[in-house]
Amino acid sequence: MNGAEIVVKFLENKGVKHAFGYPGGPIIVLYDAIYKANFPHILTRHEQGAAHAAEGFAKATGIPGVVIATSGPGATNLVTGLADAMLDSVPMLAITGAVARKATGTDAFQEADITGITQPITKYNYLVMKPEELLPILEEAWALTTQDRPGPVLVNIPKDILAMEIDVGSDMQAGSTSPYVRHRPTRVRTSSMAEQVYTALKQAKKPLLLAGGGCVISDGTTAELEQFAECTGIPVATTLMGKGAMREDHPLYLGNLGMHGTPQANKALGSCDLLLAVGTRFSDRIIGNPEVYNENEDRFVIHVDVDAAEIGKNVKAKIKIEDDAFDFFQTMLNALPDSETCGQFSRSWQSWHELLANMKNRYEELKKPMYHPSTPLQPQYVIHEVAAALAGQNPIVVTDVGQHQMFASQHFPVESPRSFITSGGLGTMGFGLPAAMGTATAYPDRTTVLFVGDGGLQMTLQELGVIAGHHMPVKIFIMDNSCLGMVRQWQELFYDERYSHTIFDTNPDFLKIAEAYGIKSGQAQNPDGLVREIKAAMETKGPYLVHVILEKSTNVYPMIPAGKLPDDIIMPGMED
Amino acid sequence: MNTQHVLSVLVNNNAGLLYKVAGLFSRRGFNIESLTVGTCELADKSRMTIVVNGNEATIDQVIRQLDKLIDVIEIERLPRDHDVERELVLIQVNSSNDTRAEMIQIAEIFRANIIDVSHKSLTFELTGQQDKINAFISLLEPFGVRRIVRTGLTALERSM
Repeated sequence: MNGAEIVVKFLENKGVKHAFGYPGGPIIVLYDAIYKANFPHILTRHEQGAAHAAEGFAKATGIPGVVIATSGPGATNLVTGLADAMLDSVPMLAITGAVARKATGTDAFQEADITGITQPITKYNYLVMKPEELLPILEEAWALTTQDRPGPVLVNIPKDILAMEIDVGSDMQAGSTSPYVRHRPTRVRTSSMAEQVYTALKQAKKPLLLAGGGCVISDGTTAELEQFAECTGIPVATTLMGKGAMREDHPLYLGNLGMHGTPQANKALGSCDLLLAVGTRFSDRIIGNPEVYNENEDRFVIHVDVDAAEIGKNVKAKIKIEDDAFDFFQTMLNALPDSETCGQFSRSWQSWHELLANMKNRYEELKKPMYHPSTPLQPQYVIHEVAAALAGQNPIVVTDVGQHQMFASQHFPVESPRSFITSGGLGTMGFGLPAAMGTATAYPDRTTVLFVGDGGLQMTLQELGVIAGHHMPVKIFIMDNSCLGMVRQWQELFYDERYSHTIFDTNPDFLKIAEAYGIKSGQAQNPDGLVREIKAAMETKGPYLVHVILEKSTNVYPMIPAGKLPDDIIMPGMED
Repeated sequence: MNTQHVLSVLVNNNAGLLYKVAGLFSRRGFNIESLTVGTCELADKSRMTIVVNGNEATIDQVIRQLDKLIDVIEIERLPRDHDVERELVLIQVNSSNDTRAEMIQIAEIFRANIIDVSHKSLTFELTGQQDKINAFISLLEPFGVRRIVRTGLTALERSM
C-alpha cells in the first residue's frame, strides 16, 4: 500500500463514514486512493465549508469529524474551522497534503507552513517526515481528538509520503501502535472531594449549578445532572454551549445565562453564594468580567472541568475537581450521604427558589407579547413558530452567529443534548450553512433547522450546492433584517447610532439563488406567509429555503453590556 | 505578589517543540524571564529550565497550561532553597595596559576564566549563581563593557 491507501484504510478501520474535503495538488494522491476505495467523501465548495461541516457532524454526534484539504491555500482555508473547533472543544481530524519532503522550506508552489500556522489553534499537529511514522501518527492523532477535552488535530502529509509504498506489515489490524505515553500528575478526581462538595452545599443559602458545554460533550451527563439537581434541589443554568444539557421545561432549569441569558439565570449567577460550575471555562460572554466576578472570593466556587488548565484560569475556585462531567455527577450521586440528608439540602433554599421563580414568571410574562403575530415579522415570533411546528420531533437546530443566534438560544427549546449546534467561542459568521451539512449528514432522518442571517449566509453561500446535490434535509430560514444586526445593535446602544458598514442595501434575491441551486423556496413577509412557508418546508423532502423578511431594528434583550456583571442586565420591563 | 519561579520541564525532543512552548508563553501573556533547553539523560528527550515571573495564581496557570502540551512529559517546580542554579556568562570588556591587571584581579576573585585577549579587550567566562554574575558584571562596567551574552538560568533539584 502507498501512504494514501494507508490513510484511507486507516479511516475505514476507524469507521469513518463521511469525510468532507476538497482536492488539489499534493493531496491528489489521497484523492486517487479515495476514488479507488470508493471511500465516502463529500465534496464541499470551499475548504472552510468542509471544516465547518466536519464540526457540525462532530458536534451533533461526538464522533470526530474528518476534513481533507490540499497544501497551501487549501490548508489555510481550514484555519477558521480549526480555531472554531479548538474554542468549542470539537473533535476533528484534519488531513492536509504538503509539498514533497525535498521541497519543504523552499517556498515551493502551494507551500505554506500549516503546522506552524495552526499550532495555537489545534490540540496538536504533525508534519509526517518519516514514512514509518505515518500510521502511528494517524493512530495517535485520532485518539487525541477525543481524549479528555476534545479538539482538532491536524496531520500534514508530504506528497511523496502519500505516493510511496510503505510496509506497515500487520500493524494495520493491530489497533494502536502509538508510543504515546506521558507521566501526568495525579488528577484530583471527584471521589476525593465529594464530601467537601456536599458540606459546602449544606452550608450554602443561594446555590447555583452552572452547566457548560462539557455537560453536553460528556455523553450521558443529562440524566445524571437532572437526578443530581432533583435530589439536591439546586437550580440549574446553562451556558450557550451547555444548552440541551438539561430538559428546558424542568422546574429547576433557569435557562441560559450570560450576555443574552435569562434574567433569572443571570440573577442567580450574580447573587449566588455557592457556584457549582461543571464543564465551563468562564468565558467573558458568560461571566462578564471574570476578574471582578469573584475577586474577593466571597462566593464559594466549585469548578469541575476535565481540562485542569481551565480551573482557576478566569475565576478563583475553592474546590478544584479535574474530572469529566459525567464522572462528576455519577460519583456525586453514588456518594450521596443518604436519602434523608438528600432532601435536607433545599430546605434552607426556600426563599432563594421563590426569588428565582418569581423572576422566571415575570420573564415568561414579558416573552408572551413577543410571540404575538405582527407585520413586519419579529425574529422572536419567527423562531417560536418554527419551534412550535417541530415540537416533539427532536430537531437539530443550527445557527450562524449574531442576533438570530441569540434569539434561537432564547426561544427555541431543544429536546436533547447535541441538538443546538452553534459557534460559541469563536463566533464564526459563515459557520451555520456548512455546519448544517454536517448535522444533516450525521442524521439524515432528523430535521436540521438552520437559522442564518443575511450577512452570515453570504459568507459561505456556495455550500448551497452541496446541500442541493446531496438533497440534505436542511430547512434554511434566512433571518433577513438587511443588516448585520448584532453589530448594528451595539452601534445603536454604544456608538450613538453611527451605523458604520452594517446596513446591507444590496442583498441579492435569495429566492433566485435558491432556484439557481435547484432548492425549493418561498418568502415570508407576514404571519400568514410564515405559517405557509413553515408548512411547505416541513412537507418538502430534502432542503427548503425560507426567506424571512424581518423588522430591521429589533434588538436582542436581555443583554449584559460587554465587561459588565450579571446584575447589570438590561431587560425592558424588568428594570427594578 | 510577583516573584521568580523556576520550572524544570522534561519534554519530547520534537521539531517545533521550542516554538510550542514559546508560543504558549507569548499567547497567554506569561512573563518569561529565561528559557534554556538541551538534551538530557534520556534519549529523544530534552530538559528545559524556565524562569517565570508572577504570583501564585499565574504560576499555577503556567504549570497547568504547560501540562496540556502533548510533548511535555513532566514538570517540576524547583524549591528555591533546595536546588542548584547556575548560569554562564561571556563578557567582552575594553582593556588597556593600564587597566588589564586590575581586571584580571577582579576575575580571580570571582574565579572567572579569561578566554580571549586582544590589545583592546578581554573576554571573561563565568559560571555561577545569578547574583554572583550580576556583581561581576557591575564591577566590570566602569571599564566599558562591549558585549555580554548570558545563557539564562539552568537548574536541578538537590538530591535528598
